[in-house]
Amino acid sequence: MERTVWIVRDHLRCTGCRRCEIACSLHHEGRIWPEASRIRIFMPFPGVEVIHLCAQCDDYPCVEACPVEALRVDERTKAVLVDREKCTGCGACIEACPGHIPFLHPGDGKATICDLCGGDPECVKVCVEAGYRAIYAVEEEVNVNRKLFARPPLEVAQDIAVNLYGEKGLEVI
Amino acid sequence: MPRGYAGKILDVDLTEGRIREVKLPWKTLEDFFGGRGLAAKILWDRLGDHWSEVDPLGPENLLIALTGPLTAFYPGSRVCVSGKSPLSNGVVGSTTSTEFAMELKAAGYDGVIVSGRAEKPVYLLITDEGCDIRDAGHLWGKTGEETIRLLNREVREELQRSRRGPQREPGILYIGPAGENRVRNAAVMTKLFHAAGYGGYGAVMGSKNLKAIAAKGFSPLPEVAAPETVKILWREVHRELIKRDRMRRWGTGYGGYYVAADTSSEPVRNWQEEWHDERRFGGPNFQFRFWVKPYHADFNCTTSCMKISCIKTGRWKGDITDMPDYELEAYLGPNLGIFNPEDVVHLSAVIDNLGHSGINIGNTMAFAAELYQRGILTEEDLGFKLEWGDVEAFDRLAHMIARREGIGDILAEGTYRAALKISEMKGVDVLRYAVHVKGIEVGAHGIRSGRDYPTPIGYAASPQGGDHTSTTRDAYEDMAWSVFGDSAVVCSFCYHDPLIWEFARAVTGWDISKHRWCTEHGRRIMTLQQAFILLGGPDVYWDPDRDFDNPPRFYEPLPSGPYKGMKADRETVERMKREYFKAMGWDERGIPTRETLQRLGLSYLDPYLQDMRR
Amino acid sequence: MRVRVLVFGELSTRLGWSLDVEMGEAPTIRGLLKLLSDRAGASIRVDGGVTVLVNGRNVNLLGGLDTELRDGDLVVLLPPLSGG
Repeated sequence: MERTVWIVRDHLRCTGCRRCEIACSLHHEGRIWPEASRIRIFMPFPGVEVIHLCAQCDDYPCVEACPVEALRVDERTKAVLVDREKCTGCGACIEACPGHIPFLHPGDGKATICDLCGGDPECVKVCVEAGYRAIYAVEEEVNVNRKLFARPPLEVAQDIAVNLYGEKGLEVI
Repeated sequence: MPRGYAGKILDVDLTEGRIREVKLPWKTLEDFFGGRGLAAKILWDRLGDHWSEVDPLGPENLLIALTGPLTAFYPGSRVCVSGKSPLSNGVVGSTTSTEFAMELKAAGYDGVIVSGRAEKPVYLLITDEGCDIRDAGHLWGKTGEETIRLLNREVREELQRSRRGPQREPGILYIGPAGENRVRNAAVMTKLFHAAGYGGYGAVMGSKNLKAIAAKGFSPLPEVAAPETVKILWREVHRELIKRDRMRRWGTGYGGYYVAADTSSEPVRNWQEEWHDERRFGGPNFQFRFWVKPYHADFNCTTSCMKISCIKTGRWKGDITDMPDYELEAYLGPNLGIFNPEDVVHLSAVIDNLGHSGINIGNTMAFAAELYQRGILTEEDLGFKLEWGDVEAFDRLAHMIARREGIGDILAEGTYRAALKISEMKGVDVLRYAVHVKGIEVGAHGIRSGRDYPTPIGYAASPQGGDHTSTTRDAYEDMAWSVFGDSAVVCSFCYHDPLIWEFARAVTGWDISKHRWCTEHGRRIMTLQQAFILLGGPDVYWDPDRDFDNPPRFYEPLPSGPYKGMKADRETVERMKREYFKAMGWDERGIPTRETLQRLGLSYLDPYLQDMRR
Repeated sequence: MRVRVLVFGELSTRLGWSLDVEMGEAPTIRGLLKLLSDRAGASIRVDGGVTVLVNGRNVNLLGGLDTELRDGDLVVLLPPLSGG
């Protein structure tokens, strides 16, 4: 099986600077637009940053769920691609995703999902350059493990909060 | 349309429950920029003609939260909080790092002005749809942690009702019990451990029954003049900031031992000394036991000088705060006679949750402790013993002040007014122990050793008094760092010369340069702030011949350390002050001259200042 | 002719806090800084973070390094601004 780019995410290293969102929206939208960024950082409590980003599940439930076949898997990068012409903004992909990661674009209401920037993700560059490596790119085969990273952000936040703050973490989210 | 700006400001009258949108003239934006400068202008326009009569804790005062054209574009997104300061009766530009600044712009607003007073506790929710006044009865009395958790949940759930998928939390400015009870030097808080601390604007919010302001925006940031240039400069400035290794690695939280041992300018026991050699109070003792997140940042910042601390064992298990930063390490540490890192982390969490300003209330508590040391305040006055180093006593005192209980009611007035009251009560002059300048408690960088950055007139000549983030030196360089940072509204720790000036031109399209800012805009803003200080009132007025000076303590020789015997020299202070005023275009007493007012386009201030001149 | 120099910050450990400096003909800031650099055993540069004031005014607003000095002038050397 071929190896393609996958973005490793380490929430504990995320500083909350959100330059990944700036890099992503600058690349895809031409301007700084955090709510249009395909990578989204949640911070339900200070210090508890959650990196919310498509994990390219091996069985692509979002693609399966789309009633108008607007979603497909890119042959080369294995990222999910959205045909914005076909997309009706119904949100079925959001429900199907175990982490509810796709979102409806604040501009045109179409489903928006990380496309790995064609194989050379921009977000990773700024994070690695800054030395945080909360996200970084590796090359590996698509596998069942990836789906485990598609989790609702508040669920992940509960884990991180306990990791950082111990018992107190159970109360803060 | 000026670039970088969203183009409108919210104008909320809490008495009437009325919300309007204000568009300021282009020229005003060009002359005053944003943040600190623009807030001062708005305050003059609305309240200037009867400034001395405006009660900072009354409904007429304005609570202003403003961004600037560079906010969210240039690294280090901050918001500037302002109004008439209940401490100085002047105007302070009090900034804090927060996503609120970005969210406000993403919602389509540059800022919010709040006047009047709500009948019952409220909070404001600002979105792309506008501004809503919401009931905050369920939030009133809550600590920082509780407020954040409840408001995040409430706003998130509301957003989720109208949008598909999980929604993110809003940016929030809020007050704790200290602000609610109008503790005069209370902070406006954000993100648990960030504070707009100087100026006492937490009390202003409290006086308006305004618990919080929340913002969540879904629009892109405003247009910039030269988008391609901004993109390039954005990458460049971050590359430069990434090189600031020491600041990123340790933040300012390494100062607790270092500043005392090296520059001997850290307050110890209410500034009775400025040196200590407590090695166990050094950075590593905080870092390896308490830091759970070694890099934490706010929107668009690579400096990430913040670290997050958490106490994992013992009676204070679960306390969460920042590293603490140098100021709180000093003010809740050596200045209270405390040299144990865990004690300081705990007090920092207590102060943050109560919504106190650690610097200002740390100063007031130390002042009280010195009075106790000297037998002027007794165990009977306090209700307990207040010994140096007793963390439990200071914990208790901080709570009493936040609730205005017992002696807390007097101390809640801030160091200066508490000193006036106690002098009267006890029939003895305790003003000599009050370390403040123009009502604003002095930041943890002393001037007696001459080794730290504030000059002998750093506080004495400044319209922001003891504010260590904005000290005066030459009416030129001092404009570039803080006055610009506070008006562009970006974090001064991300300041880079020349990149910030190039960035400013690329965002706004205006002809901005360091030189022009320092000789024109900066002077304009500072001169306007000086006018406010000179007018003062209603409870306290500053006398230029007496109050534009260092606290009496700074003229006492340092009793210990490598610079033992050194103190501020009166002759030097007077000379440097006169020269500074002259460089600003003010007379030798600090009153702006008619010519300067004319040059800066502030002639409308002249009728109010002319009687003050000799 | 003589100028008074006040030194703040780290430089004071090398130069002392306060010096009276005798200068020859046509004294300028450039000349004074050269003199002080020799004495300090370290180069004092205006673009190296040190702020230089003459009678309270930043030399960048006067003649820069060519700023002329007069008898009785007060020159102040300041470390870079920071804060936090």
